[in-house]
Amino acid sequence: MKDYKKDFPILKKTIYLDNAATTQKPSQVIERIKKFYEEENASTHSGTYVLSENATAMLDEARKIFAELINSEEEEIIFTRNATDSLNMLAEIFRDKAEKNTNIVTTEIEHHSNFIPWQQLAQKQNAALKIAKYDIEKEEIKPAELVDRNTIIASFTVMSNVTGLFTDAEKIIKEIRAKNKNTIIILDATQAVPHAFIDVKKLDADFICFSAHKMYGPAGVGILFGKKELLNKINPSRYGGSMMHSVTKEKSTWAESPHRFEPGTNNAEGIICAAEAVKYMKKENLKELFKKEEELKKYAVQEMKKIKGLEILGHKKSKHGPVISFTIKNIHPHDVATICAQKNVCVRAGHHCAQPFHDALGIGASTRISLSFYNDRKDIDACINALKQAIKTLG
Amino acid sequence: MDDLYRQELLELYRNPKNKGIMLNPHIHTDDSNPLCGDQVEIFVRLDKEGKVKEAMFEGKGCVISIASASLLTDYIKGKTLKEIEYITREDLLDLIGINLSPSRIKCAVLPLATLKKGILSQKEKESSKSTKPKKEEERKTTKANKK
Repeated sequence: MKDYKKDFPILKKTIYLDNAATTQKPSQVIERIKKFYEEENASTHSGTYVLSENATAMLDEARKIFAELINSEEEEIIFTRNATDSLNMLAEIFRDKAEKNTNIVTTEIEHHSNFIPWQQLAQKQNAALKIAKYDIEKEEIKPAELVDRNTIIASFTVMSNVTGLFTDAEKIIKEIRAKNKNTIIILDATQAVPHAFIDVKKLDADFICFSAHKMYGPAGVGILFGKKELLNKINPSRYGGSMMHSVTKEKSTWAESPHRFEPGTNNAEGIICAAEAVKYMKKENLKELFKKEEELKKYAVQEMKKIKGLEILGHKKSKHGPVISFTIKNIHPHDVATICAQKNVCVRAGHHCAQPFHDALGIGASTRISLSFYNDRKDIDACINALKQAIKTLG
Repeated sequence: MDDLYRQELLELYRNPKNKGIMLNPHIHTDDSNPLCGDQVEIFVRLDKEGKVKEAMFEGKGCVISIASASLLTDYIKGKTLKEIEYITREDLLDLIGINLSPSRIKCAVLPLATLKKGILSQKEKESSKSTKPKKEEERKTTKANKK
């Protein structure tokens, strides 16, 4: 099997198991940004000179690459700053739909970025926020049960950033549509896209968002899919250059989608490098990468289960991706993470921006390892040894 | 960071000093670290001269935050509230005696920040008590002037 670590310069020095927070970048992406600044930098969509026209063409190509990745149309891809930005923008766009006697449905397992925008929107507009519970035994969420004829938005994750749970989004969406065909369905696929095939046509959500930096691209690039039949009907919430059709002193009209949702100068270098990361993943064969991650996850779960006093959150019944959070009896997650850091193993401790989920699980915090195809069994062994050391020192 | 889990700190973590709940304290305050969910509650009782007679803490947290709360509640005994206000983050880190990474400094500082928050709210309560009648007087004067 290929040693992917060779493609990631930073991995020569460290054992990196915090991929759910952000992933490392391959040389192919690092070199791409250097090339852009040295040879190709220009503002897109504005100049008639070669540099600008080439940069615009590269941006269009990047849009096409992301569209192919999730089986959407090019004009259904909106570039934002990250998934958090996408979700906040959707909350701004649909602000006026939220009013008294309407409700928004989300779940208690969400990342704060898919929870706070809805909580705040509901509070400001006097709408109700309905929060689907996590069934610890069955390891599932059922947000469709909360949907009624007054539900304007239902937003939930495809894969948990805490337990790695895959939520069976396709089934949930069908259930929501059956109850209310007008509910706008939003998916947070930030954790899912780096580890699984996402087909927007099969899923049938209205909006799906994810972030490039969690899939080997640079920070500052979010990808928001929106169904095209919806996009040209809704008005933008943010204004500036490039997003308008015409502007007079009296009024403004909007450009076609996706441009009406992308005001200001595009982060062309970021978007082009984000697409380069997708090219890298495709070149290495996505199926192979996901398969390796699944094998590594199984190995990690198997080895962690051998440690006395360690309890894994989830990973017993339902389908889970390569994100594993756990607690160790009588040892604080921060201490576990610090001892791992002393052994050069990067893991995460805290509530991973999912406080309501930790509250539901009855714990304040957990330690998390999250895997990528570039990890190997030796990384997991090093982590297991560090965990044993933590128990020896603090247990 | 190698001496982070040295014996003295581990001993304080396993058998913390001044841990428990105090009834009828002069200062009682709590706070948490939003990053890791650590919680600390601080209780202070003063003597007639306004110096700390007894200080206790309750809470859950990591080695650093528990050790820090233990050391701090010992350190402030005999000090006035004014003196406590002057305790800096550096003083506390000296007390703990190890080099901490930025993320762990937050764990160490939580008990001190909580204590200072408690002192501040105590002061605000006292000053609102003493300024309330004044404000009413002021209002009366303004009304009278308007007339």
